[in-house]
Amino acid sequence: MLYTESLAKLVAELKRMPGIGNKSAERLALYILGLPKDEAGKLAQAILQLKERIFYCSRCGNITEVDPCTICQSPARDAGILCVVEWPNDLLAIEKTRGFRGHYHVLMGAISPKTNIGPEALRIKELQARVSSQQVREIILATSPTLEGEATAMYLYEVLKPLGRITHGGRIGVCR
Amino acid sequence: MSLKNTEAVVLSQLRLGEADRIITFLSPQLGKFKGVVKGGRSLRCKMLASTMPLTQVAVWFVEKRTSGLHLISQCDIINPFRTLKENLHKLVSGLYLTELVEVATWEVEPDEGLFELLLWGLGSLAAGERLQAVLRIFEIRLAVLLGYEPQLSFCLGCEKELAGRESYYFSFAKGGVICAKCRAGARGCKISLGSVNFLRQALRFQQEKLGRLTLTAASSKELQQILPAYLSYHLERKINSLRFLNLLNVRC
Ligand SMILES: [Zn+2]
Ligand SMILES: [Zn+2]
Repeated sequence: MLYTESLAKLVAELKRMPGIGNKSAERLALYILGLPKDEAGKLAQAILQLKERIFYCSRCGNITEVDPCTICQSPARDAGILCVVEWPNDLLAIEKTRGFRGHYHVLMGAISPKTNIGPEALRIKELQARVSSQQVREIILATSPTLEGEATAMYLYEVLKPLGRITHGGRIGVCR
Repeated sequence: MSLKNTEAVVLSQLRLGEADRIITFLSPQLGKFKGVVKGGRSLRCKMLASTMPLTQVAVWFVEKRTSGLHLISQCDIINPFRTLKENLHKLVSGLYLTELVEVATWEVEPDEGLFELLLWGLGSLAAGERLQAVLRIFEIRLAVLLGYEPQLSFCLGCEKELAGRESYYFSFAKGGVICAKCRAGARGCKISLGSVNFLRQALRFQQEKLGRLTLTAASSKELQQILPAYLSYHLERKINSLRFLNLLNVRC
C-alpha cells in the first residue's frame, strides 16, 4: 500500500471536495501532515465550528450564524423587494456586486421534472407565505439561465401572479 | 482522432465536475451519443445556448472511441424551439418527450424515424396549442418504433372485429384491445372506440398531416391514462417528468 491508513483516509475525504482530484488531494494531505499540531488543530476546529454554528436563515434560507440573518435584520435594506435565487451561493454572487439592497429568498434548488424535483421540494410555500404576509412590492426572479431555472421562474410567475407584484425576466446580471 | 459533424437534438445535460458539462444528443446518423463541453459551466461559454436541451443543432466533435464521451468543439443552433421554452406547460411537455427518447434508446443505435418523430414532436409543441394531442401521437408512434405496436382492429381474445356495442379494454401485457368478455377480470384500462380510432389514425397518417387529427376531451382523458403507462410498462421504467406534467394538467 502506497499510503499509511491515516493518510489514505484524509486523501479520500479531500478527494470528495469539489475541484479536488487525486493529485490535489494528495498535495493537500501532505501539506496538512507537515503542519505543526496546533495549526492542524485550528483547521479541524474551523471545520467543526462551521458545521456547529452555521445554519439556514428561517426567513430567507441564506446561510447564517444568527436567525434571522444579517440581511433580513438590516434596517438599511428594503424588505419590499425580494430577489428569488436557487442556492445560497447565488445570493453570495449577487451580494458581491453590492448593487442589490433588497431582501432574498433562497429556494434550495430548481424544478427539474426529469430528476423528479417538483415545486414541493423547494421553499416555494415559504415564499408564498412571505409574499402574502410581508410588505413585498416587487419580486425579482433570478433563477439560473438553465432550462430548470427557466421552468422554476415560469412556475413561480404563475403561482405568484395572483398576488400581482412581480417583474418577470427582471434578471439581475449575476447568475451562476 | 477525427473531427466529425452531425445534425442532432440536445436531449439533456449534466454537470461534470466544477467546470464542464456532458451533453446527450440524438442524431439521425449516430443515434444517441454523449459529448463533453469543456468549460461548459461558465456563463462565457459560447455553446451555452446551443447546448440547452430541446434545441436542434449542428454539432462538431472529436471522436473518442475509448471513452464513448466525445469532445464537442462547436455547436450551432438550427432551431432553438424558442416558443417551446417560453411556456411552462410546453417546456415540461418537451422535457417529457426527450426523457422518453432517452430512456427508450441505447447509445449509438441510429434511428432516423425516431429522430424525425422527435423533431415533429418538439416542432408541434412549439407551434400549437394542442399539447395533449401531440403527446398522445408521439407516444403511440414511439411505441411502434420501439416494437410495441398494439393490436387495434380486433379483440386479442376472441379475435372478433371491434364493434360499436361492445365495451373494450386496453391490455398492456397482451399489447392491445380486448373485449369485456375476454378480459375476464384481467387488468386493463377501459378504452372507447373513439380513442381506438384516434390511435389508428395517429399511426396511419403521414407525419405532415398529423396536425389535422382531432382529439376529443373524452379520448384525451382516456389515452392520457393509457399511453404513458403502456410505454412505462414496456420500458420497465418510471418516467419522472410525468408527475410534474400531470400536476400542470390538473391545474389548467
Ligand atoms: Zn435571512
Ligand atoms: Zn373478445
